[in-house]
Amino acid sequence: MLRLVVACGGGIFTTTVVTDRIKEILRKERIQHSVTPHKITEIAGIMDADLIIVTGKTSATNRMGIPIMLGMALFTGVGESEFIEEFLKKVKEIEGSK
Amino acid sequence: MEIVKLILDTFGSTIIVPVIVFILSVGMKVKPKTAFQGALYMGVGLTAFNIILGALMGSLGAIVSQMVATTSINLPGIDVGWAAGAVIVYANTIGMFYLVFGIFVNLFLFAVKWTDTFQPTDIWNYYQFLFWAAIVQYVTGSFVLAVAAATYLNLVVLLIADLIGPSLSEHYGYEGVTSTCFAATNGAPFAILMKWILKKTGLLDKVVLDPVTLRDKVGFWGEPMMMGAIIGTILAIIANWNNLAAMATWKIIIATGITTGAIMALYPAVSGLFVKGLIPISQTMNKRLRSGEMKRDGFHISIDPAVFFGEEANLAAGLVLIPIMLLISIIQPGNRMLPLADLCAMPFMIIAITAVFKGNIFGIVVTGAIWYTLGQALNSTILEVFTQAAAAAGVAEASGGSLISAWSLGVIPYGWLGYKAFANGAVTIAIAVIVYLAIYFLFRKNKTAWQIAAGATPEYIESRTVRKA
Repeated sequence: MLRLVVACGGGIFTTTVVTDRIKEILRKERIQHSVTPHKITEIAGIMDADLIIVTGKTSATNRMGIPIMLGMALFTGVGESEFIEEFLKKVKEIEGSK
Repeated sequence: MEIVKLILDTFGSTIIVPVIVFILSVGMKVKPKTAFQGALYMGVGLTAFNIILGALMGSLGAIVSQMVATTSINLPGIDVGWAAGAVIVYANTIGMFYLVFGIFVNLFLFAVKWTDTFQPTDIWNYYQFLFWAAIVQYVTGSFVLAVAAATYLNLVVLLIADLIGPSLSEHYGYEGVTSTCFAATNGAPFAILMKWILKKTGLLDKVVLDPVTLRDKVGFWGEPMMMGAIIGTILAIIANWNNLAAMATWKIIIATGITTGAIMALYPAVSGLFVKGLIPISQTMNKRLRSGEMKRDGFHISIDPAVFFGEEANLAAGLVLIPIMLLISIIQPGNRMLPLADLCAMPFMIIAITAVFKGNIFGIVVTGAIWYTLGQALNSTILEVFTQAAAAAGVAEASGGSLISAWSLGVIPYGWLGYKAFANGAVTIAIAVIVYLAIYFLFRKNKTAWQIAAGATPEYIESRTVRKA
């Protein structure tokens, strides 16, 4: 199962929007997943995830080296299809290496 | 009006709010199924919020009143956070009304070019100025005055958004955006003044702090669960100061810390449910904007401040400010509330200040600390009225006599000024309107100069105007 984290400033508004969109995308692709909301300030310490999606540009990194993607496109809709393509590529890469 | 009141009293906010949001969503051409789902989530979120606020009050309420009674530390207010603030505001009649009315106000002001900011993409953040309108409504008992105050503060928010737009876009690297989130932008005018002063004294360029090193050092201050546990423990220790020798006291202290940490950890999940009701509307507005139904050059789209939050200077300065503000709130004479749920929102509250200072951490921290110390003094005066306004809206009735406020909203000085102006009669309202108009025309006359003072470069503003032509 794919374990995702979606993180924004407050872990509430943009996170909820982006989480809903991600669930929609993965359901369409029939990929088993779980999505947990977090705050950007918590990114460094996250341990049990395969991929972190942030809703705004950040220089924050994860101590375990979990990859981070900028998912603002799912919030604003600008560049959404490009993001989805890149996102699914990444997801399949992760699934493949498991 | 009688019938409206009867309906409101009978059904209560947990039912009425979702119904209104459903009607509004359908009116905004959201699919009925999506609208219904959103509205249901909202009702569920509102209910869940009341439960979690009850837990918070149950755990901290007694501790805080014990602290006030047995020690000389007078901090009776409990910070329930911006998410709870939003729930309380939207459960209020003014909050519900302005969700509909505000969209028309925004569209009108944008259409007649009174403002360059397109705000309907950010309706979720209306609650930040409606917080003060809800207090006006409670204090004056007048719905009309509350609507007037809300509209007035909305104009102030838009003026700041116009001022700070180019600077935000340039510093954070997003094309043509701004913010109408009052907590994120209200520090901007003061930051312009502070930047001028700090430049004059030469301090601004002398103190250089590296954001990445700082962030790694103070990172843990930004973890809500940790902060909740720490503050809960501190409050419980102070409250039980005279009984620290007893083993049972330590049970209370540790339990309070863990409970507070647990509540902070649950907050995002519960508030996430509530916001789902408003998402379809703001997303529809977003889509319509992109599909070209809105034609206008050189304008700013208001976007949720979450996209600015994680920028390295902003995050680092915000994290540094967390312990500073906590310390100030303890020693500041006359302050009556410790920041709790909103402490980790500190990086949100300096977003515009960061842009004005172009990421100079020293400048941001000094400005933020002074501005919000003033804010804390003002917030301390509204605890009673806000608590009663919340109870009147049917939220946090379980507060059991404890005083509440949402720190990040209560410390906005312009909000307080707006509230005072509209709650004190015609003369102060007239003064407020005149002051706004004077500043508005002063800004409009020299728009570019002000935007440059707010941190944008002439090159950036020119690049936006050239494209327009």
